[in-house]
Amino acid sequence: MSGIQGYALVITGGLFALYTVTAGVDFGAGLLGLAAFLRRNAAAARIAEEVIAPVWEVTNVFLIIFTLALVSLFPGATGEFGDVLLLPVATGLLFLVVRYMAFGLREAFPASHRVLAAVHGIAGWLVPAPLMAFLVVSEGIGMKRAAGLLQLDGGRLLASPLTWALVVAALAGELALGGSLLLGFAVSRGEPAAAACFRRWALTGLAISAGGGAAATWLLARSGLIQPSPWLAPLALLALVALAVSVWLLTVARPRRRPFVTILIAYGAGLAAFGISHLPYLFRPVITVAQALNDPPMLAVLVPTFGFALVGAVPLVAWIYLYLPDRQFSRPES
Amino acid sequence: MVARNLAWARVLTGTTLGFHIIFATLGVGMPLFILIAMVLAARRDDPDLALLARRWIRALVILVVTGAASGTLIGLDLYLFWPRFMAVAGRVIILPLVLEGFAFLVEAAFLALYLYGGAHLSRGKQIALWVPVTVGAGASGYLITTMNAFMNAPAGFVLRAGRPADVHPWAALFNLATPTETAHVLVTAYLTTGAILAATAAVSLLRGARHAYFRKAASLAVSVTAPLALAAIYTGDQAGKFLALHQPEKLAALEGLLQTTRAAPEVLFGWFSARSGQMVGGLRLPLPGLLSYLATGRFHATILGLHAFPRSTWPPLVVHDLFDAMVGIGFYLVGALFWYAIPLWRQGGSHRPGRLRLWLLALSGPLAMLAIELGWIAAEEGRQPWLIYGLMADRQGVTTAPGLPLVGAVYLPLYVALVVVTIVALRATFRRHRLRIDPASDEMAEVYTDARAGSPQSQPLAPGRWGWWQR
Repeated sequence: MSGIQGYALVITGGLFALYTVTAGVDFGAGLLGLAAFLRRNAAAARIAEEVIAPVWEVTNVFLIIFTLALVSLFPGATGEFGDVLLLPVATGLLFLVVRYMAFGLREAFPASHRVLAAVHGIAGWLVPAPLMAFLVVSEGIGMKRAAGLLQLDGGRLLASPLTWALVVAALAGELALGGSLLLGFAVSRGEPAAAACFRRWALTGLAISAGGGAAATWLLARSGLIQPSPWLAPLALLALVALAVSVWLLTVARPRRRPFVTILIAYGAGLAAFGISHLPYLFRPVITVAQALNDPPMLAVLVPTFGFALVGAVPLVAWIYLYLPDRQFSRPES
Repeated sequence: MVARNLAWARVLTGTTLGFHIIFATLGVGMPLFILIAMVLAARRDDPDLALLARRWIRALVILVVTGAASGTLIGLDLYLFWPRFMAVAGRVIILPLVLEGFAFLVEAAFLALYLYGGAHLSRGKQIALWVPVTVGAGASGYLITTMNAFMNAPAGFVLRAGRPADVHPWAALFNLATPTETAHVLVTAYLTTGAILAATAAVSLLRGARHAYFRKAASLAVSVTAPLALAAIYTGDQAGKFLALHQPEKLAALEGLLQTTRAAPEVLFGWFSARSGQMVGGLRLPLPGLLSYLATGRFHATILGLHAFPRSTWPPLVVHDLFDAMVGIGFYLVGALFWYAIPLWRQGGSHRPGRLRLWLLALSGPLAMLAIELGWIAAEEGRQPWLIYGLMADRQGVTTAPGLPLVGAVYLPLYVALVVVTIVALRATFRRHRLRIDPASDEMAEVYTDARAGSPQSQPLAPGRWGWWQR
């Protein structure tokens, strides 16, 4: 693999991971806010709401930027991905728009929290489920050729155990990411009831998500869909160690943000292993990375553009997710 | 399949754009007006202008929520409905979209920082936090328009065996249509936003509001917007001259000109009669060669008519009426805004506008937004049948996936719901945050009303010289 190919892959994979994490936090916090609200845990519900408030738009931008990275760095796969993923992505967007509508109305109608909180929490939580079709289809599962063109085979997609393993991993992963981040804020504000609630959800989500991830790995290996690479074993080990440390940190008394960071490491390693095991294909078995890659003159502009922009943006975004909610809500009038 | 998908993709993309353009126009324009209000409030130590900035931010937040939804839809719709177009665009003109994504990220990040971290900062720091929001919004508008300009004047590549080659990304970005199109789009976005803000204040004054707060709101919006109305006429004229040189059949369709004509006259409105094969019912302006002059700067220049081009490349002629209506609204805005602005600039704070002036100003907001819609429909339909002018017809770019009618059946009601939600949320937000004059100081203040649990309470917020954003 040439240097420019490697950079393009790292940027696209990094943006995918970035969206996965930011969306996991945002959507997971939305569902946990709903759960806390229904269990009348007012402190937990308030913290969840306060954490989402500054970050939702930033999360949304990363979905657009990831899509742009895919289209711009790998235009050779755009036509095929677009045709096959029309219905799954359109379904994910439907959930996303419904969530925004509920969010907009919640800004205006705090009195009608109950219904709007339910729609906001559940619609947001479900967004990643149809988007998982992206990963399944990229393994060559759930598509067919008709009249020489690739199309979605919805029946096979839904019948594949890999689809459901990934959906379970994603939906539970949102709870792990959202719960672990909210736990830090609950601890820093001295809210033990909220902290207990988030700790419980984070641990449950982490366990189920790890199970989904393990099932997906086993299914991929059984189908011969994992390409050998010297990177896989170290990444798998890193993911397991980070997972174990996360569980341990979630059980100590005042964990602040460390469990969130270790969960990030576990997910990052898992996603990196998934991506590497997928090589050299972008869209198995139809399009390889090299076939889909943009032309050198465009890459020479795009790769530095993405690189510089991400180097500038990621620290700012990290600060907004990790520290801004505490700065805001430590104000006396809040 | 292709014909059905093409019809659905056009309906869905057009509807998405039709809704999103409202949010996008206000999303680009409002940060600038808020910034101006902030700066003036700081310089004059004026609590009314500070309160005005805060109220405009409240509206902006609701528009950003729903605008983000429609913006995400249009962003991914391009990819889902037109994947073959995006495959070509990805090799040639994706750079402005990538830059726009990051401009949007800057805007979103600083909006979050401002709203949730800026309340206790000094005036200068608050304004400094708002500058990237304004710049990010304007840059987003500029960059996304360069992509549309590329679709009108493709540059920076050649097609070899149907695939782009010899690609120059910066040449594609700064194509021939970029200067005129971006200038016109940005100017009209700021003009429309200003007209809507001015109209909102005018409606309050027409309803009997007497406090200086409302006159200041109208004055600020009109003072900024009136020169923009003239600038919109100028940039529109330049865009027309570009069409005469580079997209003559589009100009012919917009002007309803069928025959190639020397010293072509300007004909307003009218329609195409299929029986006679002529444009009928239009109003011919008495100045000979006016269209030639407008298109080229010379009264006796020859303007190509649609018959000079194959019939299969004619845009739909309804664009002529849409275009004329848009231009007519543009001239109305110049008149209404300057009729309000000239006495305002002469008399300053003592200016008391009459009801006719206020009515004309109140109409300018919705008319300006109507002009934006008409202009975009005319511009996009005027490029038909091309997706990329002269290179890719729209049927070549559309998806081949089944299921587009299903997406349409779900999405079209969704857009209607999105608009309803926006209106309901805006009304509810301003009902919860009402304006009230403090009897002791005669100062306008915002009052927060919470009607939860059936026990309405009013809790006055701090008069808020600063701290723009308080829930």
